[in-house]
Amino acid sequence: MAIDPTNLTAYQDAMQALYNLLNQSYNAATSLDAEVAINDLADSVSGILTELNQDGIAQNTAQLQALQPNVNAVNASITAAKAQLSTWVKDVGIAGQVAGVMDKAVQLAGTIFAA
Amino acid sequence: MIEIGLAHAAQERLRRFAAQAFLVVAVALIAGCASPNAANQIKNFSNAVALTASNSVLAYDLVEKEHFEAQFSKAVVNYDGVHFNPVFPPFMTPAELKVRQDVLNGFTTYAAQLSALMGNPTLTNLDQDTTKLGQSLNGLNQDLVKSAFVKSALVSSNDVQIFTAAVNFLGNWLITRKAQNDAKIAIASMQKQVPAICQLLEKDFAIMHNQLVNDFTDIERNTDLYLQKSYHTLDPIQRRAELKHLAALSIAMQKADASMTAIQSSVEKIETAHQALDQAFTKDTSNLSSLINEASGEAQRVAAYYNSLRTNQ
Repeated sequence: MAIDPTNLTAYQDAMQALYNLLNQSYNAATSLDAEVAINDLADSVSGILTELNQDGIAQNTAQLQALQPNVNAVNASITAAKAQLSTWVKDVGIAGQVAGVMDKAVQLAGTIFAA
Repeated sequence: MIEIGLAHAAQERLRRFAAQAFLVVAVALIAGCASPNAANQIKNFSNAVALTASNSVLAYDLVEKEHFEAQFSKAVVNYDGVHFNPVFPPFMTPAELKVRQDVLNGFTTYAAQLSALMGNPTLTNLDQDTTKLGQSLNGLNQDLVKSAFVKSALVSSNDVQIFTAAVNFLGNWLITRKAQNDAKIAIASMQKQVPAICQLLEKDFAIMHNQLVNDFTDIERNTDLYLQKSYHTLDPIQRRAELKHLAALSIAMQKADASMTAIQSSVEKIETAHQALDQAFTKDTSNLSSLINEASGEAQRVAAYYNSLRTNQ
């Protein structure tokens, strides 16, 4: 598994932006089920942010490699959630912003954690 | 003749004693007691450092407490009535916390030693465990710093290198502190090291701050969801208690957020005050006095916040 930490800071920023938007989406959710789904995703993104705060030093490839399985799992959740955004979030503007940041986060993750 | 000789010898002894006493007083004045104002400025600086360090330790505790609460709130909202695994990893391991505490203790001891060199009474026993602390800081290497102290893409390997060298220097200074008898020289020797230590502490606090806000946000969202899911099974008094808890969380988050901003600013102000600390030995100490007051005031505001947390517990 090759690790390229060049975009690590940009990835952390994108994940933080996604986390903030998911919290806004939670408050603009269409139903309790939508809130549950958004909450689950926000918790997962929060978990990655915690690991980056704990282990994200750019030079430490061993710690980054250990992070990869969790990043892959969150990427899968993000991709699945993106298709549901229009039904989960009342505010079309927020939903659009979330979709944009989701794409960016997944794309940046791909540049760091090459399969 | 003998009497005259004895009187002469006594006068000579007296003259020698007077000369020695004068020398002792002069050395004391040159070594630090040059001006009561200088001694007072450095004492105030030392007190501000000690308060900032104790605030920092309380900030680490707060980050850990809220990290636990965040994980707990997630476990509660996801609890299925069957499985509950109450094992929540800390944000920092005890070893990671110890490195931070050692660095803060080292910095506090350095400032206390400066104050002692100026003739001020010390509140802490500078001999007890100081050599051990110095050895611990002197032995800190880059790998240990990378793995235990700072961990973020925000921190470059160059930052780590400079910080480690500064902490090693501080450790060595503490080991050889008994040979240090001039506060002015000590301050000059630390002018590169203190900024390196403070700047990395500030970056570390920025990471802690981010983690604290995220954890509070997780707690708020999970608590809100728990309330919505269980609303119809709660009686009116329980509902009121849960709603009150949510309202209190929001206020607590705002205060904790502000306290982390203040603590970062406090460390920055200590760094600035140390850069100007040699002004204590000049005639005009108004600029230094103002910088120390700013650092001290910020530290006192943070301390007041932590006192309020203790009172409300």
